[in-house]
Amino acid sequence: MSLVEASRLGFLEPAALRFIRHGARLRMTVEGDRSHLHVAVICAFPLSDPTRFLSVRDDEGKEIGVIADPGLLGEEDRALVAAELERRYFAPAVQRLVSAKERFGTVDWVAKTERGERRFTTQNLRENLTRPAPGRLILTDVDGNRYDIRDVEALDAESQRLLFQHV
Amino acid sequence: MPLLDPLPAFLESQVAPALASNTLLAAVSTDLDAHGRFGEEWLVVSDDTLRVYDASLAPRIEMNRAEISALSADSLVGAGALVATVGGDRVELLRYSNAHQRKFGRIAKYITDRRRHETARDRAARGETDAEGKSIVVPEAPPRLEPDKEDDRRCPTCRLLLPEGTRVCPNCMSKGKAIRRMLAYLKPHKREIVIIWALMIVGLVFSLVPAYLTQPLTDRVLNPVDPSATLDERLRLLGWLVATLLSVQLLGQAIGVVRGRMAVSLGQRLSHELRSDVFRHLQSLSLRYFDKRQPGGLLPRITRDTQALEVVLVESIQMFFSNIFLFVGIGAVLFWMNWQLTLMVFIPAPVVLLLSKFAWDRLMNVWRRTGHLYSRLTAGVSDSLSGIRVVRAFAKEDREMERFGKQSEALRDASVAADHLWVTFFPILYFIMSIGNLIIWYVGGYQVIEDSGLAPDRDAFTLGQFFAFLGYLGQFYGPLQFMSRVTDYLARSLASAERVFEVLDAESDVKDTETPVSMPAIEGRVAFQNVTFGYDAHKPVLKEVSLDVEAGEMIGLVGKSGAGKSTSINLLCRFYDVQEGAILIDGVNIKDIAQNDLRSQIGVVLQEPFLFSGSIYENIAFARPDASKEDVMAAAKAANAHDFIVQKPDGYDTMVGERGQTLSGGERQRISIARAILHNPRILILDEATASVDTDTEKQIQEAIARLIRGRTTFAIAHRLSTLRNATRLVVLKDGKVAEIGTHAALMASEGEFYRLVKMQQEMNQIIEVV
Repeated sequence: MSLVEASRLGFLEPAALRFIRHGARLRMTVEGDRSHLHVAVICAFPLSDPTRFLSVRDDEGKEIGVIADPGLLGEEDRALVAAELERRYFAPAVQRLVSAKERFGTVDWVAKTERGERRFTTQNLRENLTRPAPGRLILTDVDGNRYDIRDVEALDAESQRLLFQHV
Repeated sequence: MPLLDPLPAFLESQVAPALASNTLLAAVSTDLDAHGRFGEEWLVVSDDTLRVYDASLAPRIEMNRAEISALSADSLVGAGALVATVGGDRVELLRYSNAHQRKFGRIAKYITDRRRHETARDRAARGETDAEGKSIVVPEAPPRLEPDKEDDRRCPTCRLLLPEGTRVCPNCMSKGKAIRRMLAYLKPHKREIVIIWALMIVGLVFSLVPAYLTQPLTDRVLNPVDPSATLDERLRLLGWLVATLLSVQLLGQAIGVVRGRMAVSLGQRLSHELRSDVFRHLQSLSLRYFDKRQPGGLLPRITRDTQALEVVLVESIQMFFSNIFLFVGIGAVLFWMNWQLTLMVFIPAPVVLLLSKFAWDRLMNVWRRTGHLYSRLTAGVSDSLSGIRVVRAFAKEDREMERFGKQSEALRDASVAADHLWVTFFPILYFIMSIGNLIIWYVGGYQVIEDSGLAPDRDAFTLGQFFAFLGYLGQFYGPLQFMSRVTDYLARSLASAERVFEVLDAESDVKDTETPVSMPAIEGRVAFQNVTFGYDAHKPVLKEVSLDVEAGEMIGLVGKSGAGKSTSINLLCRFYDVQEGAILIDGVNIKDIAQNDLRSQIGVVLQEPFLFSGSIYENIAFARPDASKEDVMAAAKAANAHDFIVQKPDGYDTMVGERGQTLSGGERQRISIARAILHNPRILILDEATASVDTDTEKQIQEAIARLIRGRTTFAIAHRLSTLRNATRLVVLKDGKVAEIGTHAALMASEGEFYRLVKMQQEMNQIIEVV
């Protein structure tokens, strides 16, 4: 018996899934089976593999199943799921660092992100820096917001200089 | 060959006839008297008598050997007694301290075996039969004295007691050998070293030029010996000399930069190699090594000591030879310039050497002491910080502070002692050397004044020569001082080298045999055959445990704490080797199975799961880094961990471990179960694996495990006996022995040890309910 079978981990067949948005609610129908009025879509690997392995849960938090590859969903369904993920996961990707000033271990950053320019403050960077993958950094500011630097090498030279002054 | 200790002359003559006629069995000494006080007594056993002589050399006990039916070496605490069974009585013959334990153990066995053999022979001779009516078979030869096991605590060459965990004798290991061993690390970098050394020598030659140029500067430019020299000539020469000095300085410094850069890269590379070597070796050592040592104490060996070794290899050795070069080179130049004066330079030399000799041992000692204390301090800090919760919970901060304070004080005092020695020794040395300098000033100055009237072309000692001489002398004392410090550099480096090599020399006591059996696919049959084992060889935790487990069985190990449940598991994983008996997997002794094959097919879930710093995904995939994400998720699902993991903001990417999120005990437990499930082992070990999860979760985990263990052999230890209901058979251990084996139902029905344990737990639960 394979591990997946033995574990009762349920995978959902993307072709059989239909998503409908009702106001703030996302409804999911498994064709030929049943409909779930309110589902949440969660990434199993939000940092290392955000586009695959989505866990779909009902409003009691119970897992309905896992969508291994959402790319196989219908076009509209895919857009709905993407929008749901976009709403759920807020960790703007940093495109450029404008400035970074340090005083007594506190760094004030100004960054251009995919969701607009932002000023934020970090403290104790050793603790508030995660490296989910080589070349990737996530900064957590004093309020718990996260800023995702997907690829350090891809930043321009000035941004890299500012970053490595403090990291 | 009888067992023979050195005997007093009187006894020697007593036993001589028996020895000559080959009837002497043993003549040995003990170190305690009949009242347990230290003192010598002797036991002499021959074919017909047994005598014990006390210190007055009179036989304290004398008996016919034929009366003695058995001899036993009873172990007491810290000592033992040799007891004879005579008729139905037991008679204490003598006592001995633990130092003689093995010897008397051998004697007791030898004499008893011999007696048994003789009895059998006599009965056979009388035509008697054994209990079943068969004739008695007597082996032809009488039993022999068992050969003494090689005392592996001692060096085979010099009998010195070896430091624990190493086979390297610090006495037989010559200092030269340690240095040669350090040099072996330089070998792969020969080319760079040759270049560095060549640059070093060129740089040294350059450093000799300025002092040499003081002579023409004084004698031909500033204060010309030759009165006919014109002002023009003198100025031109001055220009030349300054230009030469400038270029020498420039070149010298440039060479210094190149050499320095090369040395730094080489040094860091060496340092990296050493660190990696030590770490790699530590990974290969058996658990027993780590039982005896605190991780904090090993830490500085990887960091500090390897660094120190690197400094020695790259910097100190270079310095050593450059100073020898300078010493010889400048010495030669000085002799050539003025040999009488040079001889005077050497007046303080013997004192310098004696003083260094005096400092050698002391410095070595105090440095080693500071090293030890430093290790202890770091170990103490790491211990205290990892146990901070316990410290807080019991409000023992003051005690911890006091403990730290004491360790820190000890380190302070040792460092002060070391540095005091250091700062006292050198001024004294310096003073003695400066006396040599003053002698030169007086005698040399006298010569210059005396020779000033002589014609310049004569063999005169000019002012310029005197200045050059003084210049070289300044450079000469540097190496001389260093020569006296060489001892110290060596001392420091040897101490570090010893500590590093001690780790490198420690041998794993759980080793693969020379031809390990490769077992890529274990079926899962496990057999314990008369297994005896103790973490301390004298105190067995398991005593002659025998157990046969079929492939696919689930065995529940039950017993009070200390009964030997976890120990059996440790032995099955071969974290330790059994002392007697054997453990077989599929009929093969696990000592013969390649350790990699063995461990890769055993999955363990421990009571206290350890998570490395990294994501949850990495922690689960630890056993199989190539596992797909589907498999990792499936394993987590099976361990009932998937749901809580996915609901964390970062899902499987959540960082855990030292710097990551803190997880609850149950969560950590489930992650480690997922790890074991993903590992997909043939033999699964659950050591109180579900102890820290609630009953509901435990049930779910057990269901998942029950599905997975089909066809796998499982050993489960659980304190909550009800959790072992699924087990095929239960093994009840009591005091290191197997008390009962059977199914849950059968054991309950027989109302034995297991029944008692279950009842006890039920009562406990009732009490808890009432409260």
